[in-house]
Amino acid sequence: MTAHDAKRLQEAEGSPPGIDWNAVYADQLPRVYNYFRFRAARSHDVEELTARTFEKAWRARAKYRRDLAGFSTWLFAIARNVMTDQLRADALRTRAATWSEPIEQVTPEGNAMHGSDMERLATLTAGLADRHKELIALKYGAALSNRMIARVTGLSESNVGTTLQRTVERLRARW
Amino acid sequence: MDDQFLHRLRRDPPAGFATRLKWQLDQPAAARPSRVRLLLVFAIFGTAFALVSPPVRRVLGDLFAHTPVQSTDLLQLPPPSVPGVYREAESAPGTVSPRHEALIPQAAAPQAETLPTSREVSRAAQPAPDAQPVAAPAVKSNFVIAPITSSGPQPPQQQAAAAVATRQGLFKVLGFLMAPLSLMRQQHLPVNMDVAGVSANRLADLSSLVPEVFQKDTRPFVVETRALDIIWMQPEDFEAKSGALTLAADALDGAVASRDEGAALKAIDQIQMACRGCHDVYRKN
Repeated sequence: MTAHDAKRLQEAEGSPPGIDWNAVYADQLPRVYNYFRFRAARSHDVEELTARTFEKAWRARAKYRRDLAGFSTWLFAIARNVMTDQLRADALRTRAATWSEPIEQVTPEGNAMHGSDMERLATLTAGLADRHKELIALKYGAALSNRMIARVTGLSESNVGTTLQRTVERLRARW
Repeated sequence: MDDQFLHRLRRDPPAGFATRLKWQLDQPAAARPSRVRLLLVFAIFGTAFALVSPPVRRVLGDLFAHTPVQSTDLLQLPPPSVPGVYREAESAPGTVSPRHEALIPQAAAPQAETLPTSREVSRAAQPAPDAQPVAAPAVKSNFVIAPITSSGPQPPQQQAAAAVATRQGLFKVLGFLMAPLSLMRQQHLPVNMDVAGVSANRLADLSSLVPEVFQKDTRPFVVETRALDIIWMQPEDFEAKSGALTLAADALDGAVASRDEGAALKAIDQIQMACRGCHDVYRKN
């Protein structure tokens, strides 16, 4: 799609002027993808959940008329809803306890090291509360700031910081 | 805080997946209708198709018809005790032959003016006169069957009435979903995260329909509605306000996901504020 086409589509969909949706996609995709990697588990689930989130958000983006920071909060609210829906399904509920690593496009060495890290993390976090896992996924998967996490979760910023610090310390002590 | 071991676990999404998803997202929105819309479309067309098919019309006719009265029996009908009702049957085109028409008491004619407007409308929607159905002037069935069996496009007035009914139905459902949330907020009910989650999901889906059901501009018609004209004068703001409800419902779903009761109650407040914000501007008090 050319830039001209993108602009026309944007105008037709009533999007706020000045928002480059291609740039938004490029910026947000790794965040959402890694959020689900930290939360979900298997590669195909992660891709499915990421796609579902973006489809929901893209379908309704014309209605979104606020700033881009707000858009990110909104996008992660959708991502969390998608994750919740998935967790409600019994099939994934059991898988969510074990984090594993997608195997595409990595070297065997990197994959082995990365996979073992993820398995180790899964073991360490198995005993954590779901809320703590969520904060870890938003912070280290989605790379959100504490302020953004506070906006997404409805917690206070200081509460997010304190909870994350304690959780990371517990994980590092056992890493 | 040494958290590099966690940062190192991030990975870029596979390039193939990113490209494929971007291509899907760039497809026109019309190619990806929501499930709710699809279900509504199927329900509307399915019902319409069923109602125009002869077997269904026959079954409905049998269901609502009185014992058929032969045309000769019409002469023996007692004088109408409820003039408006008989006037409706008598005035239906083609149900009375000219010979019988002469026998209808003349006094019935002026009483027709007392009929409600909606009946006038439904009579106008009836098909062209046909001499054949004289044998079945089933008095009550005229009221029930006429709107159902009338074929062809609806008159504008009926379209407007249908649009109002659809809108009011949607808002009734939204109110139904809001009821438990309001009770939880007022502490009349304990906070139940599962109920709140289900309500939040449904509110988010259904609230996205609000701008659609207001696409039919009913300002020129006489309809019973609390919707103010300003809705169609500033549609963008109206749509933004309904979008605020969707966002607030999404926020509640997020709060439910994190099992944070305080955040859930705040999100219910946001939903109520979104409702009120729209009602204050666009609804008659």
